Amino acid sequence: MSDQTKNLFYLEELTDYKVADNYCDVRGWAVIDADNRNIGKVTNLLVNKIAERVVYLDVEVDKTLIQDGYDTYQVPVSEGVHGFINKDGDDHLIVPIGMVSLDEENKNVLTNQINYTTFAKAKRFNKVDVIDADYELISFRHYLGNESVESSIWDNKFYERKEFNNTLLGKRIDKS
Amino acid sequence: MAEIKIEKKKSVWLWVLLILGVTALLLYILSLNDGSQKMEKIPETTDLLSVNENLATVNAFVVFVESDSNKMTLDHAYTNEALLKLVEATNAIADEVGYDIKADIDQVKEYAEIITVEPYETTHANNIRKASDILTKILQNIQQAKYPGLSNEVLQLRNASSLINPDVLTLDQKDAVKSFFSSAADLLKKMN
Repeated sequence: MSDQTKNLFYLEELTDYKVADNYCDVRGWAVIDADNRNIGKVTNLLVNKIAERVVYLDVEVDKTLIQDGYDTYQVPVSEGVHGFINKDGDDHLIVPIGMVSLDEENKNVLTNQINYTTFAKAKRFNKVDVIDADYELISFRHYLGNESVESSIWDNKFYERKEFNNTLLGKRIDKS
Repeated sequence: MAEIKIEKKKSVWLWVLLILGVTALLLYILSLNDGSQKMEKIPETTDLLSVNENLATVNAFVVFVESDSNKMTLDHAYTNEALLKLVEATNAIADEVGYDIKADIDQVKEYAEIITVEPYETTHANNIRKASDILTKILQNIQQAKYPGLSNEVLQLRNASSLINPDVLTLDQKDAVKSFFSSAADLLKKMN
């Protein structure tokens, strides 16, 4: 972990920590996007050790989404600079905890705020990669849909933003 | 919208160590109680002086001692045999009163064995003295619990035991050794 993300750890790295009693351990749960499509599954939990809570879900995305990302959303070089390229083997992405809700009955993580297209165009990483501040900021901007979000938001209160907090209690709000 | 908190795992090893520690302490206390009962406690009953046990092993020891006793030889066979007979007699009396003396008896038998193995060994008197002290202690405990009227006989036995000098060759203190056996025979005859 870089100095900027020194408080961010995979839960499995913290051998003396576990998901607190009365909270769901969502590792292995399916991730359902705002279009009601299964885009992958949660493989790990990224925690802020000081706050003692999960701030991101590490999601291994479905191969279909990866393929759709190449076929539909890959921007040709001729059309200008596009910021990043997902390499082969990059099949993970992070989702801020405050942007999901939990369907405990069906063991699903629901991302009402993020649709399939957003996930398909997101920058991904390989599971062996270290998640650094740059990647966090890129992902954060992408999910907000605002590439102009200033890097100055990256401070010690970053994880207090609503995207990382429980601002709404309860389960999925059915759009239908 | 979701919230997942984390917490430190509770250490079970602390509880495991605590339970093991308490168990070990209890076992230690129990073992202490068992040990103390061997030498110190004899079930309380009435004076057995008037009760005629007539134990064969006691008779055998008394007869052995009271027969022609000028037998102490270099190989200490006499002393060894006398000690073993005394052990058997004492054991029989202890059984009668419910007194567990197995550990002490085993020790005395060891001493009795030693004095026949190395006839030229000058520590025999030391081993005889150790054996006599153990047997005296046992008989004193039995006397105090069951034969309060035999205190003088026990005193005589203790004196006889104390006169066996551990630093002097046994053959040079035959009388002291024989006096111990005679006192023991006298006491056991009355207990019997």
